[in-house]
Amino acid sequence: MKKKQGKYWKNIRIASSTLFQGLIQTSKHFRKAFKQRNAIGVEEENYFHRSDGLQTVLYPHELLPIPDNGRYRLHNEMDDCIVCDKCAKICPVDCIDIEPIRAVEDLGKTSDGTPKRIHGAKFDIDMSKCCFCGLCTTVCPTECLTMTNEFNFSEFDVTKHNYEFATLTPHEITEKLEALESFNKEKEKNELKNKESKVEGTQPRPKIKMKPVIKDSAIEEPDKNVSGNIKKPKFRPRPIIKKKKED
Amino acid sequence: MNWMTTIFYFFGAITVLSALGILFTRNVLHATFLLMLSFFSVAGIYVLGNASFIGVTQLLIYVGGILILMVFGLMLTTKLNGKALVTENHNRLIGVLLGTVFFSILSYIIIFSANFEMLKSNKTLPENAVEFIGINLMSNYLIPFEIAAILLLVALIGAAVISEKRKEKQE
Amino acid sequence: MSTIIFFLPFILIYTIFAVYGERKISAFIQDRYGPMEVGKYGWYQTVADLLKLIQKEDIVPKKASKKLFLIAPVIIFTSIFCGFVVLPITSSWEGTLTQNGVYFLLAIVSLDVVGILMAGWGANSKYSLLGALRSVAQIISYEIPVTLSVLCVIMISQSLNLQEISYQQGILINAFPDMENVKNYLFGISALNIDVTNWGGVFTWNIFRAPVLIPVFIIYFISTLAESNRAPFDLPEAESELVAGFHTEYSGFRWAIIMLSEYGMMLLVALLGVILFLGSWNTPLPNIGNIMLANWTTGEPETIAGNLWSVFWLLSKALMWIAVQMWVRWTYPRLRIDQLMSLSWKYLTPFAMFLIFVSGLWRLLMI
Repeated sequence: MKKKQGKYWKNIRIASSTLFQGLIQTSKHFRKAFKQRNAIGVEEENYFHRSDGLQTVLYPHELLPIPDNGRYRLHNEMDDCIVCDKCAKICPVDCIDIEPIRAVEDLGKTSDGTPKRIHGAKFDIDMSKCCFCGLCTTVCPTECLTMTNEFNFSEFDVTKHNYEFATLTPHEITEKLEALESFNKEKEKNELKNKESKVEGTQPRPKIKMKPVIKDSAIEEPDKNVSGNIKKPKFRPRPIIKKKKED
Repeated sequence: MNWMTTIFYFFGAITVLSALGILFTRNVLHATFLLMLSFFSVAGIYVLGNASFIGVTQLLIYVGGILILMVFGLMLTTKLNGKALVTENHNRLIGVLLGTVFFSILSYIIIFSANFEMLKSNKTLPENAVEFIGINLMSNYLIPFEIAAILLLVALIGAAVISEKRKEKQE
Repeated sequence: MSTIIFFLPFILIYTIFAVYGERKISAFIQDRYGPMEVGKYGWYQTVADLLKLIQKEDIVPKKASKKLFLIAPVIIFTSIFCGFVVLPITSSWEGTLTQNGVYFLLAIVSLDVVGILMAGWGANSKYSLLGALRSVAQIISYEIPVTLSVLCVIMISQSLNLQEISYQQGILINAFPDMENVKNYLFGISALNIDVTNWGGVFTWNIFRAPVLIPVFIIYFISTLAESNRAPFDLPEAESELVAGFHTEYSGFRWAIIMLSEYGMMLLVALLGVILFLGSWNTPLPNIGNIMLANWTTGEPETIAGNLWSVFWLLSKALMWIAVQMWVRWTYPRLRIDQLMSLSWKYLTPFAMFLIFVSGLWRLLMI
């Protein structure tokens, strides 16, 4: 009985003191509300420094600066693109849709010197599907596909999230297709001719032996420096994840 | 007929009509709300009759207390099997007979034997009615007042005992 | 009766500003801006919201009990609005039912439970029903500490008349009929023999006239928070569990009426609290020697100055009270239902009963 009584008064004491502290705490925040947070970017030194006053910014009017290497909307520089389709293949959510047309004529080179062979008739990126993993930008051989710091691209219509990067007009596309078709026909004819002429003396092509190129471990372990030494794969214990029993 | 009389008849009509509604409606919940309306207009009549203390007491005890508990209980129980709670008629003959007898006795008493003293002598209630009631409760009518208090206390303790958890059953 | 002319438009305008104030206070406490778009500093946000609410469709759920569902918001608002008729506004403009003012208020304040029950039950939704049940249990339990704390004040002031209680708490005490020779003493203790009748100001407020009323005041504040279903006692509309509690199914104008009555209830308990504890329409400034601050800021009754001063003091105190209610709301987390009940029955009610006893004794000191 006595113990219970002690708890009763203790409850009252704790409740009143903590309630009072709570009021003091919120009133502190209320009084500092005339101060504002500075709109500084994440690169600034005191970005994570907790300041007094309002913590939010008036978004459309004020903006926290976005770093230049932000990874938001995808952008493809079509002049540099060799339409290799790697990005579409690696994309885990299949948001890149590419339609290639093989070029007949010489297309020139990209800015880093890779020769272009294929027209991109269609290069669509559906940003509403994109999961922003950035895999496509890492596989891109000419580094034409990049993520920009443009993050504010909300739309009222979801189909507007489909960004088209192909520069060819429909007329040009039909032109290219026709050119390719005539080129193919000509090629077939040529091949037929070649076959007829090469019936008797066919030479087998020299086989190229594929050797796996193993990167030298010299960079990692300069002491060993034994050429041709194939490093054994290290045994790495895998974390064992026990499956939960389902009832 | 001045406007006070008009309002009096208005309240009277509401009281009687809602009481009749209680009689004729089948839905218990609707009956409860009609009863509330009836109590309200009775309180209004009290206030008109310069007895605002009794009027407010009517509101506090009947509408604010008893009726809310009734509605509370009803609402918890009516929709248990998905149907509205409806009243049924039993013992119609005896019911009608008893009702008529009681109604006639009561109306006889009210109409013929009640002498409306206040009306005859043209007296009005004193201005400080509350003080008057208070002093009388604490002096002339102390014993009934205390008995009522003890009754309420007993009811309170009884309710606490009934709602107490019984340890034997839990184990 | 004529005070309705003042209170009806006042509640409507006050609610618009109170909702805005609530949103701003909550924002500042949580280090946000709050509404900023509509008008300068978002001043017209509530007006815009109100316009939107009026235009919205009035939806009645198919399986709802239509009559009860439609009439419930009206009953909630009416029962709360009825409470305003007994309140005095100025030193010469008093409410109706003067002899039993407080008594009537206590009776009527609990009646909105009926409307809440109708709304919750009539909507035929689990959330609404749970909210309504909680609300009834809560309001009925907290009526007891409210009534007991009001009773303490009545013991001290010896009157159920709100205007008389108001007059007692200021320098105009002798202007009220039957109180020509009454004197106020410091802390109400006549043995000290310090006459503060002419000091006025805070020295004659009820919480100063009888310091026993300070804990009573706290009990009143806590339990009226619960009566008006405000956080931390907002279990009937616990957003995180019950969507919106008893008014889950309401939309548009009917929902607006329910919100209006919630804010109306806040104003009602704040006004009653101000009248009972914080000097009603009396000025807080006392007379100091020759500087007659109390006289200057009260004015004579029946004059324009007197009316203006008293309505100013009454409303500013009540609005301060509401600001504190909002401050409390955005500070504390919600109570659990058993904590709520134990607070009422184990803590507030016994203390209030004890304080009634003490107030009775204090009244003896005041004679």
